[in-house]
Amino acid sequence: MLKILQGFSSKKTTIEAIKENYEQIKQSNVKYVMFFASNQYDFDEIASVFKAYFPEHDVVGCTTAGEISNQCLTEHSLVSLSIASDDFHVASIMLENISEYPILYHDRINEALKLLKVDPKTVAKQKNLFGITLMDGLSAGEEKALSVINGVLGDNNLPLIGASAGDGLDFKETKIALNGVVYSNAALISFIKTGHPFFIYKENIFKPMGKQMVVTKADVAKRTVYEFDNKPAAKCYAEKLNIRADQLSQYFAKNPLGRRLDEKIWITSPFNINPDQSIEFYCRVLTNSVLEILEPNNPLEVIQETKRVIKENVRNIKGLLVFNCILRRLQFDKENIGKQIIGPLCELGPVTGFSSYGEQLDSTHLNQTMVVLTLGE
Amino acid sequence: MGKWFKKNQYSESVGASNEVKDSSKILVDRATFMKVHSTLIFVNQLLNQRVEQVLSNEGDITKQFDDMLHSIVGNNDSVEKMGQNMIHLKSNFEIEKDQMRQVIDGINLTTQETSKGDQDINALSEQVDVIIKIFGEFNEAFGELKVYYTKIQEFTNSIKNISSQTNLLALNASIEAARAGEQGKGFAVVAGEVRKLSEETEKASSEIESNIMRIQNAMNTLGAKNDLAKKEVLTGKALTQKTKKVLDEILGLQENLSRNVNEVNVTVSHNTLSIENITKEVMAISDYIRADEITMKKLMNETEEKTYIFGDIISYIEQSKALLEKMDL
Repeated sequence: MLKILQGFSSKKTTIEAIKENYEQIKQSNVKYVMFFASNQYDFDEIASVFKAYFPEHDVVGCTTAGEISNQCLTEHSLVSLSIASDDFHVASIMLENISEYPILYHDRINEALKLLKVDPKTVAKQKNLFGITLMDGLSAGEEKALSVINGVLGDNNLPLIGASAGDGLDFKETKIALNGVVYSNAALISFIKTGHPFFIYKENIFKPMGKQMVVTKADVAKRTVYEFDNKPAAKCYAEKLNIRADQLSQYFAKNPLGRRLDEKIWITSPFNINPDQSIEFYCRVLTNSVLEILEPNNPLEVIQETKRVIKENVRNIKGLLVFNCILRRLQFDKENIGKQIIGPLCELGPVTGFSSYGEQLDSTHLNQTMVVLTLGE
Repeated sequence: MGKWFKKNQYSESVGASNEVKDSSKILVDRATFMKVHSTLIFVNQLLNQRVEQVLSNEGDITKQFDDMLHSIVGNNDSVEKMGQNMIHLKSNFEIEKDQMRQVIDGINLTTQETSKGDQDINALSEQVDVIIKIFGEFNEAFGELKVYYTKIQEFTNSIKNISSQTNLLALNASIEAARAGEQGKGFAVVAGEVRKLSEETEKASSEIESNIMRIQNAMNTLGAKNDLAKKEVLTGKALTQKTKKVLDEILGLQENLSRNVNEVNVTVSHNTLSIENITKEVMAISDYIRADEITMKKLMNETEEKTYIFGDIISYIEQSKALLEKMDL
């Protein structure tokens, strides 16, 4: 019996918001609690109070760039979920210092898997195992953290869904909580072992334009591209879009870039042009990779397809965990279609999540994407 | 920044309990050192693994290129074969065209001959009608003859009658003459009777004459008709022979045609085989192309995978560097 409850509060004070959430998500046999808080609240307090309410099992959470619930896209709110079931086992660990060397904490992964009685070498064969990650959104350390998971688990076949915490577009500091302890510059991984059907899906509202560029010079660590096709990055990008180089930054949200792998597009969003015409991205770009220039698809059509695919893959839906890139949220706010995007998902079951500074899927860090975890019975 | 490493804290504790030979070097506690050490060993393992992955990935990529090369070669072979088959097909089509033309000409000839034959057969059948008509007239003529002969028989009988009567009368006359005498009355009667009889005889004779004339005429007509019939029958025979000749020719043409059509059939079946071969080659090529597509996709995926592997390698190296920097090693 899987039961997922969703909580929402837009109360002004932290303690009222927490209480209101607790009333909505309290139930017996809770195995996992998640909360996502606007950075206007006292995050440390939320972390310790929630842990006090659920002392026996993992309680995780982070700061956001907007919350998601059955109230669709909201700001200045606190949302949460609780999962209750006999067949839901969680082991969560933190990789610290993801901006420099999260690999130092690689042992914790083995410890977590040991808790779940899973042999790390057999992870590829496990059908009932997946991971949820919450990572710091400002340390540019997501790829490092994922490479550590990759390293420990070998050829990573662990289905994984995650997001980078936000801070309401202040771009100052994001926080992650694990069982009452608050971290920055860290990555949380919850390994989950369950017999309940789960389905992880990536929604992409962009499609290839038919134009490609090759990254010929880049600083991988700094997520910066200096040259495309042996030309200055901004110049080449603007040329491909038939616009002037000084107009380029206005087109970033509409025409991001994407890698093509396995017939799917993995989006990488540019956000800044440096004086030397190099472009900074929100996720890592590797030299010699071929990038497609993307153009928008119709989000209202795409969400219907998303809904259809989710319904097809999970018959008896109990709840959804949704991580939606802040760039998408900004686009939807501008076009005033937020409700039409999240609404269809709410029709499937209780929806909880937040707008993020980046998303993770399997072993990749992405941008401008929505990832959805659906749990069923 | 790393939370476990706080420069100030350590320099204080160092100053307090341990002797520091060189204050520019930062010492860390043994447990942390062991942890870093084991982490570096782990990173080494990972790097080895990843490098091996790259090598095998390169091996895969090399194999894909090999496969593609094979298929390009295979493609070339197929294209060559296809080219040959097409040339063969083209020349066969020319032959087929000629044969078809012959067939068409043959059919035209046959049509002409058949229509000629038609005329002759018509003439023949008309001729037969004529002959039948003539023989019909023959019959009529004979019929007339019969009538005349019958009439002649009648008159002959009547003459016989008259003749016997005349004989009786003559006898009577001689008897009467013997009795001669006074009265010659009976003799006049007899003379009168004789006169009547000779008139009748005359009549009969002229009747017979005219009938004989009529018979002559009828015989003449029959004779003429006979000649005519003979002539017409001969004409009919000639016509029959002509018709047979025409029909024989038509038969011969049909046989030719049949042979031509057979040849066309053979050519067509050759062409069908050529076309089948070409189709096979085209399908083989499209199989190669499909395989090429699949190989290309694999290649692209392998290449993308490679960049991911390099990404991990870069990440491990970065992290090791950062660790070592912090440890000032």
